[in-house]
Amino acid sequence: MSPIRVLVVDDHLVVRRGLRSMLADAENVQVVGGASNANEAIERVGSLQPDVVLLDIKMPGMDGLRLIRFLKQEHPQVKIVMLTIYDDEQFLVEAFRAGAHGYLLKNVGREELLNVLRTVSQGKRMLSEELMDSVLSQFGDLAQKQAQSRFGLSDIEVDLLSMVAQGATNRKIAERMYWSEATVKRKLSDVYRKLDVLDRAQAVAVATRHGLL
Amino acid sequence: MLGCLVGASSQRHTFTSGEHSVFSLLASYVAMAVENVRLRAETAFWLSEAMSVQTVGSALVEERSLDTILSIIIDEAVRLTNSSDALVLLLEEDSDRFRVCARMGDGVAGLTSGRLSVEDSLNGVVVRTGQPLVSHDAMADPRANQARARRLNVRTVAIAPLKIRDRTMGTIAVHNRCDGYFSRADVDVLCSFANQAAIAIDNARLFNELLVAKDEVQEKAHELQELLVQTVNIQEDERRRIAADIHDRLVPLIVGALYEVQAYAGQHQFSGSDRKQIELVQELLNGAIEKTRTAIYDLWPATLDQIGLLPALQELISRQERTSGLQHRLRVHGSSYELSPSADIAVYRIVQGALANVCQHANATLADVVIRFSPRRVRIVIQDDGKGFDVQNVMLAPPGCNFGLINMRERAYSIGGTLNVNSVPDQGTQVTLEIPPEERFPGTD
Repeated sequence: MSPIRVLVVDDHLVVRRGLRSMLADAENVQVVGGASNANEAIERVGSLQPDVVLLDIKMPGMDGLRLIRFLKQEHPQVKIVMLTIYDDEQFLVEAFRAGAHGYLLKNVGREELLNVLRTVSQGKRMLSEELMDSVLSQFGDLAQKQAQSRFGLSDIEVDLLSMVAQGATNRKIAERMYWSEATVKRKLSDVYRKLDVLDRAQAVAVATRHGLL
Repeated sequence: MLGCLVGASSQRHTFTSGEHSVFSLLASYVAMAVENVRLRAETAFWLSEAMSVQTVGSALVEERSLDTILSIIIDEAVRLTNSSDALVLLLEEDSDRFRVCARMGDGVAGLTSGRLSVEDSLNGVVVRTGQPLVSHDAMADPRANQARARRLNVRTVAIAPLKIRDRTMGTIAVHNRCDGYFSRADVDVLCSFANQAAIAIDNARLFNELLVAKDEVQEKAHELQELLVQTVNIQEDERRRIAADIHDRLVPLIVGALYEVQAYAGQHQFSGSDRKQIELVQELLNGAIEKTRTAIYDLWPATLDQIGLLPALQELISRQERTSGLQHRLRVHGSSYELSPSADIAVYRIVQGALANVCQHANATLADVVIRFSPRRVRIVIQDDGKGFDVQNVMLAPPGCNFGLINMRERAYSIGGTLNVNSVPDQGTQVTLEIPPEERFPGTD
């Protein structure tokens, strides 16, 4: 079985050298080269045809997110694993959306790194255990979004529902949204129609059951 | 004795003592009648003078421009005393000279300087004594500057002090009464007029000082605002630079060290205490990376530069929710557009401040952030269902006790926006930030 060929992209030599050292004796993993900026990375991916690229999100020349999109477009078979200091959910979401297969924090352990490299090279997606919680919370939002789109509700309509669920009167809602009470009534009846209910209590019940709130 | 009553007869006649008595009585009646008419005329004249002084006085008190006041004073002084020339002199501060503030007449047109010395002059005598003065021949008066009197053709002169709160600030001088000499009555009129003129001049000066002070305060406030904006910008630049420095210079060293230790540990078989020590080094380096990550995030939200304001706010809210356990929500209404970088960070910091307040003080169960994009503005409302507070009291509290609301408001002003805080005890707090369309990032729609 041929080893997994890894390209290390980071603008700091100490980091590239550290990764090389860490992966030096690893079975079935071979660091085939390094790049210190986006242009070098694009060139080396073309010339070396690695299986996996380890990539920092913050790079001189082009930010990591754009680099992912570019590399995936040019070399769809290459698997990209982000290796970054940032634990921001938004980076993680954007990285996967751009086409990354993995997202690791820089203080990754040797075993975890090897595990991720092997898994990702088989086309599966992986991320740091520490980041699971963030992803799951995103997943919760996602479920809510799905329910929202199933009923064809806008963000404002979901807001209306949650205000109704909190017991807000039409007048209170009108104040908060800078609307007239007539507008509130009209928008609420739209919501009732979409949820196929007749009144506030039913609307709240249906919304709760489908995780809209 | 006013005059005499002459009685004559066409025939030879010797007046009897009875006739003499009747005639004397008649004469005293005539005298009384004449005196009455004269007194009545004089009273009417004084009444009209007094009313004129009164009218001018109230006009003066209402006027606020010093130039207008001086021109009214000079006109009225000439008119009231029926003289040919008039001067208004005001003492200069910390100086022994008068400044000629207003003048009228052909004689005083010959004045070559706007300054007159107080020494050796009739006006100086009035200032020193605080009493009015009359001279019937200024050119020969030993108290006067006779050469100047000749040059300005001053024959007769009446001078009244301009007094305010027992301090003489200058004089009004009238020259050359048209029909003779200045009387005691002229001096009385001039003095009562001078009293009102002094009040008007003083008021106008105070009013001017007030205007100048107000301008200065406004200018200072403006400077302070500019300074604040600059300070905030410098502070943000510094924060961003320090965060980048930590990320680019410090983190690679720690990460490099961690990887080398892990490589070393992976290549060798360690036993007992050696293995423990290696593991401890790894743990310490790990801890260092986690601490620097938090420090970087606290200094500057990297998502703001790399992805944008809305993801940065989403990140902020997720973190707040995790650390506080309080439910947070972010909703975006309307089609979003990019703001300028300075507006981005200002909005971010204001939302951050408002949410920190909710977590620390509000005792709430929900923090809600709604961002509404419209072509005319962006409105951001941060709302909680907590215990609320008295906004007026808190806004007036000293720095450190006002929940950072003043800073938030200044921050909003700095990008041309407004910040309003609404709070009702036990009914939560609503912070509304509005940003004008000028802060829309150029080139986006």
